Amino acid sequence: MSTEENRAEDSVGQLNEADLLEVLKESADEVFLTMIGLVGVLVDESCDDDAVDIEKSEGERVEYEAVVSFSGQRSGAVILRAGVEGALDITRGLLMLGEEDAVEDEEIMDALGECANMLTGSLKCKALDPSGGFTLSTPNIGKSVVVDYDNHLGGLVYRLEKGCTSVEIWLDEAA
Amino acid sequence: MNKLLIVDDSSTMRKIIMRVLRQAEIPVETILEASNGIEALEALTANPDVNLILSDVNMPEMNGIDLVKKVRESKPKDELPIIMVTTEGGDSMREQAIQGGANGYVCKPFTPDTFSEALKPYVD
Repeated sequence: MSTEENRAEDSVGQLNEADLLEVLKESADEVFLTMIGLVGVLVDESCDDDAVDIEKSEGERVEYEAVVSFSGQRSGAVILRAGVEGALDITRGLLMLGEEDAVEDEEIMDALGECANMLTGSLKCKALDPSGGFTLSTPNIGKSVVVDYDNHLGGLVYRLEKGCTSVEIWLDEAA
Repeated sequence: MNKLLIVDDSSTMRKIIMRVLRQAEIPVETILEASNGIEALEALTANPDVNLILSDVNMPEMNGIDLVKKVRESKPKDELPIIMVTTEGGDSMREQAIQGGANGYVCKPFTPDTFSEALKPYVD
């Protein structure tokens, strides 16, 4: 293994679950404020095997999921989940639409994918892979996306304007 | 007057870029859209007077780095500027893009000010 690869591994290895979750919080705050124009209120977080649940904490059923996978020294994924109202908050914020503007389902899916993409990109730059080498997938978006990772590292639930959303990090156990 | 080509597989991001261009009052005659590098090359063939490309990096079919390299086979940096607009903010990706022939690099998330500052040297 080259010195550069060793450095990259050390850099990832030094970050524990709590550190990564803190960086995810920074990334979420930055993306929500800069691109969506919202200050997300953190209402729940977990840093263990128990996945956060927006239905349990906020009473909103998950209707949309967007997954961006990363691979490199560690493999995993960032998953953004939202109910209808949370998804509309994100879409209207990104596109600067008012409540009176109609939003197509296709626009919602694309907006959530882009939001997940920005969150994962930010996490990658800030923590996982500041020097490069990791690759990101294009977003996998749907109403029930299969997640092929077994280690739930942590998750955050945010209340937005009318709805809520959760952001989670999953890692490949084998890595 | 500027004729721009926006290349991104996300229609949301293409709309955001168009909105920021309007907010920054950058005079644009035409905005063309493509969702990957292959579509972008087709758009350039049909519209050889495009004078600025804004491209994502991570796209299906043909990514942004390969698009830059392909465009540079026929158009030098000063003839057709290309600015990458991407979440891929790491130094390694930035170096690859610049070495491949990109003129500039804007990381998402961005503020309208950051974005328009990056474009200013290349628009009329």
